[in-house]
Amino acid sequence: MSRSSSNSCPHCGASIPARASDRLCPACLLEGALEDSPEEDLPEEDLAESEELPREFGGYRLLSVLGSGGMGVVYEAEQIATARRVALKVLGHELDSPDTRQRFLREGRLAAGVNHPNSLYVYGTEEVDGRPVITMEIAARGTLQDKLATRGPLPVPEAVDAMLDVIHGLEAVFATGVLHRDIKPSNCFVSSDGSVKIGDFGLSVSTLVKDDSYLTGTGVIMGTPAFASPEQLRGRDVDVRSDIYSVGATLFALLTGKPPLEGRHPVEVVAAVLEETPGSLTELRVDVPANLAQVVARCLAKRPDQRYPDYAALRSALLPFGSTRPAPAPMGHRVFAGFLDIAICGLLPAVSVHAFFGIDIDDDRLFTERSATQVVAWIGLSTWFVVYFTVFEGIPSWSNATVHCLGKVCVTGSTISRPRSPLPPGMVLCRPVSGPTTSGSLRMGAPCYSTNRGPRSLELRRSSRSRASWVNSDSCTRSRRGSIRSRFRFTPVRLCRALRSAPSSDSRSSSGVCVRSWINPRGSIDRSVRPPSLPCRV
Amino acid sequence: MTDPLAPGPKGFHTTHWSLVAAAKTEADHARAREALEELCRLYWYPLYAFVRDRGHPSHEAQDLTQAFFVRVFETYGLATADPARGRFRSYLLGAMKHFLANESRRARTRKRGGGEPVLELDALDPEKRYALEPAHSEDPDAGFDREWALESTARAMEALRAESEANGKSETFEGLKGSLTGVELARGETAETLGMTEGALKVAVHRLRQRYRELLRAEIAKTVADPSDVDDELRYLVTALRGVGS
Repeated sequence: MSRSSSNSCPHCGASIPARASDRLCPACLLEGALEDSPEEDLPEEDLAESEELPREFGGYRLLSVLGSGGMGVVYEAEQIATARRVALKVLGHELDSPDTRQRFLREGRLAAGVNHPNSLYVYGTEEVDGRPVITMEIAARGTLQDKLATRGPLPVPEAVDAMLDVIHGLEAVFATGVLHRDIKPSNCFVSSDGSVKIGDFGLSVSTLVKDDSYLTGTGVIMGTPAFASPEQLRGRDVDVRSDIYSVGATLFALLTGKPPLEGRHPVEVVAAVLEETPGSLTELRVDVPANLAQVVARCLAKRPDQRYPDYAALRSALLPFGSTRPAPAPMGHRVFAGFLDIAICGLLPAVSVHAFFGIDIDDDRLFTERSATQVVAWIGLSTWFVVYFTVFEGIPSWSNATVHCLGKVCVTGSTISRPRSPLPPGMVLCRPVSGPTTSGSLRMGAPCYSTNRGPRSLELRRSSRSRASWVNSDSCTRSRRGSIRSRFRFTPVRLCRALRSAPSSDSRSSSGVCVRSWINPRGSIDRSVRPPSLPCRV
Repeated sequence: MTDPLAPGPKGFHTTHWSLVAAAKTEADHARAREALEELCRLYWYPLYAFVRDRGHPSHEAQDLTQAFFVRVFETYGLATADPARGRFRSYLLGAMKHFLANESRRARTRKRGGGEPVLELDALDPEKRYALEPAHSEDPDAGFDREWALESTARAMEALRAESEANGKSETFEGLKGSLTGVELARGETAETLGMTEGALKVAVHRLRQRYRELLRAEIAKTVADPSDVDDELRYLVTALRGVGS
């Protein structure tokens, strides 16, 4: 007979005595009190989340918990002495060992060496109450992961814009000899003006120090496998292409709301990254352009040599899918750029042709007669134009390098990835003019300096003076909102979305004048000039 | 304000039982009597249940328990207290067995009538509690151990509840006490009910478990001669519960 009923413990299955306190299994309660009972590990961020804030911490007042990184908790804090708002990353108590302390401080050291608008600025490292902390710039609008959590997958242009910002930051990071190695949405911070900055250098390594390793002393892989490259997960040597993989994975996540490869637990994720191919972006989301899907797929290639070789190439590939275009520069700079082209492209060959062949470059016989001298002169001129525009506008890396030496004007970022012109970059500028203008002749710098209209071209060809005037008027007539010419040629000139970032070192000439160009969908080149006070953004 | 769910001070060096066992001087005896009385008041019910399990009817069991405590307090219970013999639980059970074997019914009645009752057993309604227990044919000694274990866990639970109430966290305690046995709560639902984030919930559960653990160990420690014996006593009680409970 039973004097009372009893039920079972959901933990151990034993029946619970009726008189048990609060109907809880007394045996489990007692076992939980044993010295050797397994205690649940409590994540540092959870402890931090439950802390009573605000509270003072050394010279800071901790205001709220912003999040947690691999090694500690990040607080929004106020520096009491200066009232400056900062983000304070504090090494977790449970992680405080000589090894982790060293890595934590290294993070601060590496990050402090980077000074770029798209990289979270690190003010320095110090020790507060015996705990190492990193003081850094605060990102007012959280991370891209927060954006994903609140809004879901981002619109294509917004996602691409964010990654272009991140690429800018990473380029600067890499320029200081640092690989980030932990690029993911939660490490991309959104500032108050909407720009995105790369941060959290907890796993970064110097490319200059050989013993910097991705592995900890115990061989445990750190980081987020879903966004890490296969070679990184294998513990092999990594280079910039590993970070490019992570950029692709991050962009994939921004567009779909999930990493390219997933698993139920980390081991499955690692296996998937090593072996499986991510699903197609176009299948997961219909409004993703096929070309953009190809760009992301190339970033996510298993073999590093199948990915983009550097950030410049990746940026060029992504640029057409962003929301911004370079805005036209003020008129003075455009006029200056026009005269510079005339001087180099027009006067120099005119003098040369006149000196060697005794022919005036403006002489119509150069284009109509077929004597050997004129053919040679004609070929020479054409070649010169091809070389000139190829060097200065067709190949970004050449133009950057060359223009720094010449005229202190740089031309950057020809976007030739969409659509790809059937002609070499330089030839684009010298395509045969169609229609009644000429019988198979080439016109100088046709796309830049002509309307591609026969009657007008003929008229403009009458004299070098008139051509120079037209070139300059063409430069000058470009308005910030787009000239009739630019609209006609499908090269609308738009204002940048926001002028928010300072130019990186390679995108501004020493004179501070930036000349930009890109190829429109029909293959012609549009260009604009930006004054030194305005940031360059390609 | 002290957070009842936050970890409290760890470690203690003197147990109630060690005070009793180590009393040598008059001053020691005064403190030892106090400690003994407290222990007896805390653990009267296992003794009562033990007497009932020995077949004594309710009113007789109350008389016997009452008389036993009078005897213990009158003699300070110190004569037979020997630290080498271990736990207060063992001592009490041994003393009760000895008492039952030697006391006649008349003597017990005389004692009860002639002296002031040390426990208001009627007010404590022991029979009501005893009625809750399942009928079993187990050894009364095992029943005593089981009741002892239940009493210990209940004491610690009441202490935690009181702390929570004192700090205005009764709702949190009631919502999370189910996790003290190691059961994982439905975090999302519980967090929503208690109006906290899942992260904060994890911390609250962790701290509640930690605090209960400390209180239970402190409770057990009162009854052993040396704090290092706490784990052995816990294991013994778990075995006692598992042996009859499942």
